[in-house]
Amino acid sequence: MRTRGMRLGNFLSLPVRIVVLVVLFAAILFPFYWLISNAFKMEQEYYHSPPIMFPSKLTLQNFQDIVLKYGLPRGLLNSVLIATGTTACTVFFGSLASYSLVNGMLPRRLKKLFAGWFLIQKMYPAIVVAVPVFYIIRTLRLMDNVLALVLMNTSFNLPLVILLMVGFFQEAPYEVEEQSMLDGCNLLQRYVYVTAPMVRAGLIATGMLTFVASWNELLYAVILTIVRAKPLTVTIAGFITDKALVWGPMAAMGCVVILPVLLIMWLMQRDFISGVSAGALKA
Amino acid sequence: MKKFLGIVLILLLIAAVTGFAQKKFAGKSIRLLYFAATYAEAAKEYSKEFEEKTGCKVEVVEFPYLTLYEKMGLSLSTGDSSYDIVTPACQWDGEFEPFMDDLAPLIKRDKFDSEDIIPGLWEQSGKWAGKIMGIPFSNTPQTLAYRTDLIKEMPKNWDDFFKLCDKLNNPAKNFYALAIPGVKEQFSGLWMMVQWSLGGRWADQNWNLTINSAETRKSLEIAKKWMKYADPAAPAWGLPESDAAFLAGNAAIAFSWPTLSIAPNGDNPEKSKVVGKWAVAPIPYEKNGVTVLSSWDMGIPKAAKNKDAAWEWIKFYTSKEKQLANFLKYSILPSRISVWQKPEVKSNKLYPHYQASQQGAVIWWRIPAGTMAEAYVRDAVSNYITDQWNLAKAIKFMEDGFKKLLADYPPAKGVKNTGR
Repeated sequence: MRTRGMRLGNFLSLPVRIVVLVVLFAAILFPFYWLISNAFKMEQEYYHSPPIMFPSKLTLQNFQDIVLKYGLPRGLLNSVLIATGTTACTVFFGSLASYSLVNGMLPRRLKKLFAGWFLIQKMYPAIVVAVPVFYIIRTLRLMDNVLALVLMNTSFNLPLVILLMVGFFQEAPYEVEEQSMLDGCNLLQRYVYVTAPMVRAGLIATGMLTFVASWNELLYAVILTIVRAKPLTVTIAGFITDKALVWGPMAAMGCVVILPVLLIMWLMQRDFISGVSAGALKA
Repeated sequence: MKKFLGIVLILLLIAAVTGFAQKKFAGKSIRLLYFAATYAEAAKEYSKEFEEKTGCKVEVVEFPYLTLYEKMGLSLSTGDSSYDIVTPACQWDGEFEPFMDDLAPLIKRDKFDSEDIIPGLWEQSGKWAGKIMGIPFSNTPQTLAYRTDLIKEMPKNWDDFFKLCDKLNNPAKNFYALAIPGVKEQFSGLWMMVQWSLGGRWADQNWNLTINSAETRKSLEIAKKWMKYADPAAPAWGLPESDAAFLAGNAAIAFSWPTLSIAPNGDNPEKSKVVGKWAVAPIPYEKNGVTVLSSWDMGIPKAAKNKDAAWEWIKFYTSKEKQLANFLKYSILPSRISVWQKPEVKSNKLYPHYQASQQGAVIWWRIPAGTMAEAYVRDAVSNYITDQWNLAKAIKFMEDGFKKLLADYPPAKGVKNTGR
């Protein structure tokens, strides 16, 4: 019997599919190539018209500059602290909140109310609360402090983690938990030893999404930092001056910024894909 | 007894000497908020010298233009004490004045040498509503850079200017008469200087709108005509790209702020192909030669923690010595007449800026509505030159926008329009 997939496959012949894939591949990869080539280009070649596709000479000066002049070590440390702190807090609290929404003792109406409340949090633009957030952070004496950004990023990413994890907890068979209750496990033991391993893919997927979101966050990083807690996103934005666009160091910094995310995605890709697609298809 | 008194005297002497030797602001630190350009670089260079002189540590924080406005506005309006000195652009003076200290008592107390600050400049940058909220430290009228090997003298009116462009433009050889930053943030300023040089204004002194005028129409047509003589990619260019095209020898005239990139790099063989072949000139005079002013002043927020040390920095950075050093090393144009008269300044390629300043360099509205009014101008000019709007629509957009702004954010009573 011909399936829908087989019909689509006959619609596009193999050579056409290959061409389409190559074109898409090139379109996706070309910006990365341009970024990397600019990071190694000599300054004279940045503004050349027409643009130079293959640098005639390579230099490491830009990487040297970002380490020595443009604050890469501190910025990188801040970004790592903010992203990992946010991920840890968001996944921990978010998964607990989801668990209680699914398996908790609250009345059903209240659970629906909480779920709706979390959904609303994702609906307004972050800039709307910029001024009150500024006041609160300043009152807490957390201006220019990494903790401020961990707090803000956690608050922004928590609703998404909760809503995503609800699906995973709903898929996890409750009978296994009931069995563990009969074996004498308390709530915390059930969560840590029984339920969490069952939703591991979800935890990894939401953790990675949160990491990427907080790694790339710029708006509140600009508002809440001055010098000491400045992450790499703000440092990169600072290359766009009114004197000049400092292309070389900016490209070099860009290479450094995408590396950790690429590495994590590459290491965890299997878990991420299984986590994201879990529940998409009924068994 | 004598021995005892002697020891006490010696101890007192040691204490007095130690007290005098201790620097005035030892243990203190100030944080300065600067625009991310040469001004911040100069400040960073001088911070060590200031610390050696006063004992006060200096931390320079810099942001690009738009981010600077947001950071400064948020910090000042919320009474945040993160910064001891802020450097607002002159067009923000009216908006930020309520949050800034009056420097007049300090100027009087310390007999601060302010006699030779360009009077017209201070009225537009640093003084507002009878208060001295800042000391201007840069005075940059918008000018243009041109190729001296191709152009003997810059034309005095726009008709002759376009005749010159016709002669020079050669797209077949990738050479254009004009290098223009076409992004709306920069291009709107270029349009403004044309409108003003034709005698036009946005509003009169009493805030009656005059934007719908023959001068506005003519200036928009001139701005649109520029694009015929520019690289096709110019509408997407910012200042760096436009300056780079000029320095690469691909354009005869650059509408720019030459102090930012062309002056520091123009005679550097590693960064320029027009070494020794460029100069700066005021824009075509037309009716009055008035151009756009870019000026920054330096002031102390009301919420600042170390105001005395901050004032000390202001005196230090705006002194005659430092303004001369700023000019020679960083191409920061001085706000003091006496510095402009120095031989090394008069013989410098940037001296024509003083002429432009004398002709008249003004800013647009310095009231809170000014920044929003500029946004209307940007959209109208940009949409007109890219053929999305016709002339009538562009002008009506500006007029309606200005009307609404003046209604929603009226200037304070008694405040006159000292700009255009």
